Amino acid sequence: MIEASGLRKEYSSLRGSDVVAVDGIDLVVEGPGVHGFLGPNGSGKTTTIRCLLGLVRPSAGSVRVLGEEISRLHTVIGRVGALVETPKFFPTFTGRKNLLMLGHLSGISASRIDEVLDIVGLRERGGDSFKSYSLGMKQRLAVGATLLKDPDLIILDEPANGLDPAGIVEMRRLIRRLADDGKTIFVSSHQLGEVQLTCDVLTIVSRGQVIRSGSVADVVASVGNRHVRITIEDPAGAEQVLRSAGYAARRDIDDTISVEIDPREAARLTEMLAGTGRYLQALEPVQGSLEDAFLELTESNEGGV
Amino acid sequence: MRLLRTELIRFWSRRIVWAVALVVMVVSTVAGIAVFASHSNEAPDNEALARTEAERATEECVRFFRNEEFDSDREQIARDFGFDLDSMTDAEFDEFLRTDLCYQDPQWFRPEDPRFFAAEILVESYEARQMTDWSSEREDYSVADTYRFGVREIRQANDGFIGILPVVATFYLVIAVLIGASFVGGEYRAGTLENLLLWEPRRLRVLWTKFAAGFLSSAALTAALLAWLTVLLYLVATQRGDTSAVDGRFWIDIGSTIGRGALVGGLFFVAAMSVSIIARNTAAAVGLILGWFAISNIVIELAAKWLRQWELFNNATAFIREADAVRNERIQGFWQTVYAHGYVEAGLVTVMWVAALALPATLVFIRRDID
Repeated sequence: MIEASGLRKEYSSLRGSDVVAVDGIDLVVEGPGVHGFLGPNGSGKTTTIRCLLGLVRPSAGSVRVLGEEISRLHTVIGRVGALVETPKFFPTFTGRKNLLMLGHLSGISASRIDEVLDIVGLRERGGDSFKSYSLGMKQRLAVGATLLKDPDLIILDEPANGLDPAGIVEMRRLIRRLADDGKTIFVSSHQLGEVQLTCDVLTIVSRGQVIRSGSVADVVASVGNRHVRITIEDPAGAEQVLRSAGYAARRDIDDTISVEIDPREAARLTEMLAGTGRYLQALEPVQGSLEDAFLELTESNEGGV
Repeated sequence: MRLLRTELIRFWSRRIVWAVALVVMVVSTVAGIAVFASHSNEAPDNEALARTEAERATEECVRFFRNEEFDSDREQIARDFGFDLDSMTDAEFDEFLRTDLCYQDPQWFRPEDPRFFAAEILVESYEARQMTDWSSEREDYSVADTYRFGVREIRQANDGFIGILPVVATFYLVIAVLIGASFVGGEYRAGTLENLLLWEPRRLRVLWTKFAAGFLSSAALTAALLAWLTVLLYLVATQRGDTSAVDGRFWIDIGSTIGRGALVGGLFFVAAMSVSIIARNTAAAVGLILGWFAISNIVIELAAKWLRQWELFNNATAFIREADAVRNERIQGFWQTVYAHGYVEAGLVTVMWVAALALPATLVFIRRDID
């Protein structure tokens, strides 16, 4: 669906120094399914997406979307729906008219406009001007615009921006439903929990480079499974013993202790604490989260965020 | 065609278009009412009134010199005109006063005609346009002074309204500039250009469709506003004026004036949109174009006399007025305004100016990152 190879984008500043926004990204997005695109602010996610959509001219590298190079993007654009950053519509036109204007370009019927407004929950407010919409409504209209063409490939840049919790859940369900219908969704997001729940595959970028790629489970397992939680009668004393031994140990609110250690080496903790007359009541490995993985990967690449 | 249709819909959906059109129509209507109120449908016998008034003034002058209190003046007149006052009878002196010294030409006393002359006032009389005064000739080429005699000189119609349609058409160019600059400036501001390119990535096609839609719409808007003014003033002429000279040529004149105004209105839309693309800002584009409009003649006078015959606004207005474009020529030590080229060439110069702005705008539009 998407192939980028050695993608690079430099911006020249007035002072003469170049800013590298994207630094040799290689990316393969296969479909169907949901492909997450993660990275801290300024890591080059949006610039990459703009390059994929022909909005920004890459300084180097190649891009193919649905098998076509960017110069021939027009031949497949009817199968691509995209939302880049903030929703952008004519403020004085109604939501419906904004969609109608886009729909005219591809000969999309008015009934399809209403159908999409229904999907994104804006049927009732379709006749109101775009500028009167809340941020969440604007975002939903923008997602609606990407769905108008019933595209095979949907590129969403921060689609949950501005949505309330219910809206975020709706968006998650919508993305999953589209993927289940055979669509390919390439989504960049800061909502790590949502990404973990929604995405099948991930690419994490930092400083314009890909630093990890793979299935969500693999990415999480690769970096996020290095904690154990222990339950013990004397948590304060146990914490002190572990810290004295150089372990990163932290007492949690429920009086359990989290210790950073490879679970396969947890026997050492048992031995050490037993040596001080403290016996474990329970020990369990802590399943890492995408957030842990993301922070660890990006912090190590950026030297701390 | 879908893209063109979309752009046409967008043009005519914009509030600024309707707001400007409404303001212009209201102002035109008020002007029409003012003309209606200030004119009369009764034609005075101008010749008789002028003759009576001239005779009254002549008699007053004769009475003045007959008065014996002015003997010294009479002696002075006799000396100046070289005749012997003593050998002249009173009747001969009166005749001299009446036919020579005190004679008042009826032409000077012609009262203003209170009627609204549709044929002469809406557009410059085509008879007037035929009159070119060849003021001087040089061996190598001819120099024509292109001053056009106004209707005033020919028919003594009201001052100030002569050829009103081409003058108004020139002012309507400001509307085309405002709408053209904001057409794409608004898109940069709202970011909607990005949306459009996500549906049609061929930028050349997008831009030139915008040019085409804007050109057609701006021309139509200019034509409609000029037609509105024409209809209003023609109605005024039928009620409070004179339409006797209205004939086929008048309507052809009206039509061609509106057509030329519409054409230039479309071209100025493209020019303003081009500047707006390069500047990526509506205000900058409007300021640049109207600023140049305001100072161009000063710049030409002070520093670039050669530019006069090639300057955009001079040529655009010459084309609309079906007038000749002029240039500055130093003749016998004095700068004079002389013929440069005709109105068709002026139209072509205008087109070239617009092309000169549209081409770099196209390059910028194709290459610029949308971010």
